[in-house]
Amino acid sequence: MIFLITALSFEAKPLITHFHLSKQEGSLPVFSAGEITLLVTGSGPMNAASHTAACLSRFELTPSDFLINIGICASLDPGLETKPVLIHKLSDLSSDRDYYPDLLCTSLREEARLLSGAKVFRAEESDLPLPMKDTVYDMEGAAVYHAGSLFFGPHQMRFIKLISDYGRDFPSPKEISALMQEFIPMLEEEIEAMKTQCFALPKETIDTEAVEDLFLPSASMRRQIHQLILYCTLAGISWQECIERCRNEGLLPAENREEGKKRLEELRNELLA
Amino acid sequence: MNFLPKFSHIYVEEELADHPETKRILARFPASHVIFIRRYTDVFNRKKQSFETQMKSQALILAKKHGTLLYEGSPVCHRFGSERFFYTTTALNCMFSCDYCWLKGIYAGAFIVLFVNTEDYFLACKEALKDGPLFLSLSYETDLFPLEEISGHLHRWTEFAKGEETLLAEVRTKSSRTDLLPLFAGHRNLILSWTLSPEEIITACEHFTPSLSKRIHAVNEAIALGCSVRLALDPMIHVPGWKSVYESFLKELSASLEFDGIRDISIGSYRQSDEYQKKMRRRFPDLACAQYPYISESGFSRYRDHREMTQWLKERLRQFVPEEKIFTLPEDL
Repeated sequence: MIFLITALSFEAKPLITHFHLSKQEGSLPVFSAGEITLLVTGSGPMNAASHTAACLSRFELTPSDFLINIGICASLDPGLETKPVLIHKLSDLSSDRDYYPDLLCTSLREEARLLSGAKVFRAEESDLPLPMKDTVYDMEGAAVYHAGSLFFGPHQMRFIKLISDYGRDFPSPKEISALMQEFIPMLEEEIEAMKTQCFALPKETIDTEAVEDLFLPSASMRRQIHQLILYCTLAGISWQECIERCRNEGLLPAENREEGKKRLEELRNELLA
Repeated sequence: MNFLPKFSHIYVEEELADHPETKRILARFPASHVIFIRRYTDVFNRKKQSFETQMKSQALILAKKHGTLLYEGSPVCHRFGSERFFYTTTALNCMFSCDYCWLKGIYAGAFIVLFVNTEDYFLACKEALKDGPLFLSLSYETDLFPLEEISGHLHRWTEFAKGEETLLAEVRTKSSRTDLLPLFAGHRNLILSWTLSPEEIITACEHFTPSLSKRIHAVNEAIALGCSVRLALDPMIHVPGWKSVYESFLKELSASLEFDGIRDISIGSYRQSDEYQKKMRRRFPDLACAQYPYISESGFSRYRDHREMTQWLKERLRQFVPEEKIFTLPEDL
């Protein structure tokens, strides 16, 4: 599952159209289609954290799932141009905590630090030591990371910010939607990058219960049999043949636990020789 | 889409921003993104990291080591008869990736931490030497050879050790690099120790490491240069048919290795603290090395037949080297 998280509805609008997402039932503004789920958190850190946590807790997540937080930001560096920046460090101004998402695979070149505060950044009112090189500002990023980290590892979270202003001359909703629209091809590349970064083989579970039962096992013996079979499977040791032979020779199923212990020991000696 | 190259991102502790070593290292990576952090643990100890994924694009963390700089050696490591065995961690994690490596159980992530304040380590070492001779392992939680271009640790440590006669320093590696061997040449208190494994195990478990023949070539070069060379046939790995695998391995060693020039050999089978073994099993569900049905002895996970394995190997090694040159662990006797 791919979770796209935006703060504002006009950030989400072009994504909803592009990915043909439809509104899901329930109190949260969640839109989805296929592998994509889009969450609109609302503005500010409280909304971002509570909505993110509430949304993610509804899913049975796997190691291949990830989230991408996308949205507009203000630049604290006049040298940064209005294009997407990949965030390598998020600093929460209220708690003084820093967060570091893993950047192992990406198509984006520009990177920046993100400061997340509770208020809209206005250059003339700010007490930040401006200008700050390679730094941008938003109100949600750190909160999304904090809530997301309950569910995801640092390699499963990505933060991309689109510079929309420098703390003055704020963009209109229409301009914000246009920025997002322009970004969609890059977002698609980043989704592919995150798929690579979070690639995980589906977890294969080996059901050993039927084999375990043949030994009339205690709980501890069950664990030992399971571990032995798991190892043999990974090491390419053909344990099935041994079990089959024991069955054919009438050695299994065991008649009692003592005999089961003996058979397990014999099996272990044979398989781990 | 490909993973980014190693060290495309370098995390630097803020207090090291102006350290000369930081500047030297960063100058080697002009294209890398530099991210300033407060403490290396803020990145290194994050929760839910994927060791396996991070190995595909390792980042570098430049840090300053605070607190304890020399640690007492673990009871499951060879002491080689030394009264005082210590180890030091000038780097954490490795550019090689061995399936059985204990670092996979210890650390939450695969990024490499380089501690740049080697001057503090030397002071700690001098202090410890006041209490008597010291056997010090320098590469306990890393392999320093492949990191040398970046860290410069081997150059600095060998230079330091040459001036400290009561210090016996050991560097253990799987590298086949021969350009660094002159650093160790002619100094009896510097030991170069090679981990050698059967080629089948290298291929299956010791990822990104040189082949056995390349390692043997480096060992012979080191002997020819007059280095004090130790072999570590440790850890032995219990693969199916391990006896025939190790038989062929010994045949190859006897055919191509200058055993006469070897200082000593340590042998031992895989062991790992139960706590770290548990973590490895959880983190690496598909690794045979992690999932082997070990037994627990005195808090360490071992093979059921670990004594038989090491005794078997010792017996055979005695054909090539005198018994007093073969070191086994007390628990393998």
